[in-house]
Amino acid sequence: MQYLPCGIYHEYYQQDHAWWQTRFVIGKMILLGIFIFYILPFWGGLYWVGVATLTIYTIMGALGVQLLIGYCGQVTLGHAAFIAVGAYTATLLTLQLHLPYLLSMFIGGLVAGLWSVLFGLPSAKVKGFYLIMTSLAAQFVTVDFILTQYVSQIGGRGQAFSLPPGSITIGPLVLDSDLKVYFLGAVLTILLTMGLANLLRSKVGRAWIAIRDNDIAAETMGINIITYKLMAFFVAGFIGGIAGAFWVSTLAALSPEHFQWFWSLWLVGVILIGGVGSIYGTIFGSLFMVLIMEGLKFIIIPLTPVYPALTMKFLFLKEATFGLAICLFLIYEPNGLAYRWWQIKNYFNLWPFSY
Amino acid sequence: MTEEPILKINSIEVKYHEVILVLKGVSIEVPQGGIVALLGANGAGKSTTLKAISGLLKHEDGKVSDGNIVFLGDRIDKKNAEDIAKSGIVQVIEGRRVFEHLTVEQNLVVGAHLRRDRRAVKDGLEMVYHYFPRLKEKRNETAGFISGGEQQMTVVGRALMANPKLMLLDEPSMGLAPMLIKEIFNIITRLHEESKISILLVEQNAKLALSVAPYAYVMENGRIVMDDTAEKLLENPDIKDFYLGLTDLGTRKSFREVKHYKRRKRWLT
Repeated sequence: MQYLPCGIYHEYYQQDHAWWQTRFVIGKMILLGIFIFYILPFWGGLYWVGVATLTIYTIMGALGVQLLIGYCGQVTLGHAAFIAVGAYTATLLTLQLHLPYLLSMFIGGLVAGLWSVLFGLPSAKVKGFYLIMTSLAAQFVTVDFILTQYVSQIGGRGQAFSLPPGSITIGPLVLDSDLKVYFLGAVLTILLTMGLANLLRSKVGRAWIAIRDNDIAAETMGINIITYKLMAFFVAGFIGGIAGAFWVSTLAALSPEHFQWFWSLWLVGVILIGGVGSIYGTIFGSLFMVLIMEGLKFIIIPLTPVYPALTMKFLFLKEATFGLAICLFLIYEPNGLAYRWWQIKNYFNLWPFSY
Repeated sequence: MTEEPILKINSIEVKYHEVILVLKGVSIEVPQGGIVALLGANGAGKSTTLKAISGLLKHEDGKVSDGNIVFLGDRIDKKNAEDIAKSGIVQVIEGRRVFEHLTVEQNLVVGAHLRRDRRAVKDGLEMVYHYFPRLKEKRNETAGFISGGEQQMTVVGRALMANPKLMLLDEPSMGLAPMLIKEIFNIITRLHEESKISILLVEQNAKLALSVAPYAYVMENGRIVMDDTAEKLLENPDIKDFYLGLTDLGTRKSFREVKHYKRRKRWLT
């Protein structure tokens, strides 16, 4: 194994398909690992840990959207529904049946996946705009009707499930501090990202991309389109469910308001900004969105003495910035941040001779 | 044709949207290990015939309303596309439909979707690279960025990866430079000679098609109007006029004559 990619010739398929092909890449990954598991949590302070946890949750939510929109071409605007299903299932199982948290998280993922398959069924017949409508139906039927009207009534509290500190435990470990939640999220995100990236390199992933690029040609190759689309819906729902079940651990009370339609739209915005059809894109997009929104705070707070109404209008500003960011990206960088990253990498691969 | 043909189409009718009758009783036979060409003008129903065979009609709200299609002794006109692909028919759709975000090699591997055996996939790749050395050079390039000819090679190679018994080729020459067309057709001929795949070839370029296929059908307005061996078709004065654009002297005609021939053509159908 060499340090740099220049001059490497692969003799076996195994080498060609290796994840990390040079020592340089392995070094980068080790540095990233040190940053995620040591520098950020122990030196960064609680504020940045909180920001990182939100980023992690966004990444996990957006991964499923990325799979559906970016890799399988099934546009969805109702992903928050599946995140909600995962969150509610995990909470109910933990609170009512006293199952271990990780087990109920897994079951939450499965239930969310199946729920997603149910709403993915129309994709066998409809494409494009009409599929967006069915995914909207998923959002409103699940969150605004079933969860709000019926599921929230379980336990007799009416609106929300209370999650007192210490109610979420992994074995003997009680998840009661932000730091512990952050570590759990980091591990989960890494596992999910690697799992999805590997899945996309497999036969299943190629079939998904083939369906996205040209479904008729894919069908003549013997790919069962409906099965693979539903499989994509299941995996996306599963990842969403895990994300929801993880998010529960950061909350004191779980209510349907955490999973409004705007959150679905937000996740689509994340992958548009990050880059559709790229795992990097999901991560960059989530980082960008969370950091921009946090940065907005730092801009707004010094301005409030001059223009006090800004504090009242902050929510509006947040949404306007979201819209503006998407517009700017669609105009100036329609391939997203991931494409820019790819260009930068290629530039340095060829540096100092550009061709 | 003494032995049982690999594909037999018995007077099929195809309707779109339940009202538009496109194929009015088409019968075609493809012999085991043979190349058969299907000629005809635009709108004659050639592509529809291929879609009827490979089960893609339902995408356009069409269906086989009469007659049947028999492949290796099984009726396939009621099956869906991926079962037909499983039974060994692979269609190369017209217009170079590569999966443009996958690399060339990934495109080829998708072609082997139905093959379980990893060894076979690798052998398939080697075989495709053997026939299309140009694809080997481009194997790690994104298929959307390679040239049209290479995309066509990718698509044909992808079909080969499925190890088909019958390949339906829909206009492999569309939009390509004459040199490249020649290269691709040479490869198709070689392929046919070496691996004994049966091929049903749809082509606008009649001269080229007849140079490859020993037997051809001519379609017009949803009917087969003529079928014969390539030599006889090349001799046929009507074919010469309508598809090869030549008179006996090998010169192009004046407009007046064309009009006159059009009248004759009507008689032909």
